[in-house]
Amino acid sequence: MLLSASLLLLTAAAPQAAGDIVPSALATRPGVVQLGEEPYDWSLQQGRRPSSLRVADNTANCSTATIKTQRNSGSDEVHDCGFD
Amino acid sequence: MLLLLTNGIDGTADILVELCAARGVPVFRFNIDLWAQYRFAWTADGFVFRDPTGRSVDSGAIDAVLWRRPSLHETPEWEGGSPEDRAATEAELQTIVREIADWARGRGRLRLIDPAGSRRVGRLAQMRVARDFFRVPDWAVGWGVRWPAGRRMVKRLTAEPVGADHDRYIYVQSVESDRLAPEWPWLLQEIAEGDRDATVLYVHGRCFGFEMAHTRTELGVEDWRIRNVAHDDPWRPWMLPEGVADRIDAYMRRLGLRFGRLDFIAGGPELVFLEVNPNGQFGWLDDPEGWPLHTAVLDALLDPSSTIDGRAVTLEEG
Repeated sequence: MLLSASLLLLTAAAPQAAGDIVPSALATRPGVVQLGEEPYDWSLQQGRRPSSLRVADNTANCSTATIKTQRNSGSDEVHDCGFD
Repeated sequence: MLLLLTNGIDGTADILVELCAARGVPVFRFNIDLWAQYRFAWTADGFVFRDPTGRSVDSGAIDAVLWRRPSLHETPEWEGGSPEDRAATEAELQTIVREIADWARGRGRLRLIDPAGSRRVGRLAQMRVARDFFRVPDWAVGWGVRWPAGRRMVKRLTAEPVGADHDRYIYVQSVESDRLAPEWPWLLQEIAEGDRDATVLYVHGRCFGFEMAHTRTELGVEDWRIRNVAHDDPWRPWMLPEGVADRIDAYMRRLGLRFGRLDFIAGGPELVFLEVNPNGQFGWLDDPEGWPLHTAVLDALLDPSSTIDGRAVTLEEG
């Protein structure tokens, strides 16, 4: 059980010690979704989604992406930035 | 005409467009990452988009606008210009899209998703209000504090990337809280009781529940959001306990949200609320046989009662 705000502030705020966790220590690089080589299919504007494309189940957070819809010099990566 | 504001790798938008085609609902999609391939003009009389196929939409023909994911941060980089020009351009593009949403809001045409939802109803407001409806684990935010000993969850108030290259994220994770450096601000939360993670997609009064097929013990985690590949884990439909749908509906109405994905911990003495994402993703939960979730979203989009009216919402009294 966490204490009340005023009690928390009454505790001595010891200076940072060796081994203390700083924000950057908790940061990780997210998984990367490799996009396909096909150019964006403008037929998606018309509602003719190719049946071969499916909602990628590995990009549930930043984008439920159909991963074959975009090309940008063939080297793009989209960060799968964690559930939000 | 329905206008979707999104990006080129938004699979949910792909499916919504497909469903629109099947129903004969006219739709136009603006992918912000592919902005250079469109042509656009806006004057005092209104705006017009034209895409590379020659399709166009005039603002006067727009009945409803959906704010999906019109973000340049989650898409491949577009090409052209110096880094300075690109940065300046991206800021302008993001603002133009926000102005379109504001234009739609002012005319009662912005539906279902409030672009300002996450900012208006932040993590702390969500948890404070949720106490009127659900059990919520104790939480605290602060700095200048040596946190009490014990294992707790560290959450973030924003989803902003960290690091010089903005390529790392701080996911929800458990830590020994007395080891957190006291001079930094932290959001801590007690680890919730319960053995199974659950999520509910709320679409304008309707609730669609799902639960993780594996328990936390089986997954070896305190919280499924720890798992960077959690969406690869199997989820299954979850029958909400009696009365929960009504509580969710009342909670979302209090927050002034018509859409969101709420995360819970189930299997303990009580259902435990974790958070709500006012523009949460749901594509991986849907069934390709009929796309019931996407269909519910489209139904709501076409329903004028899902309009984001922008009136002041009283989250809390006093």
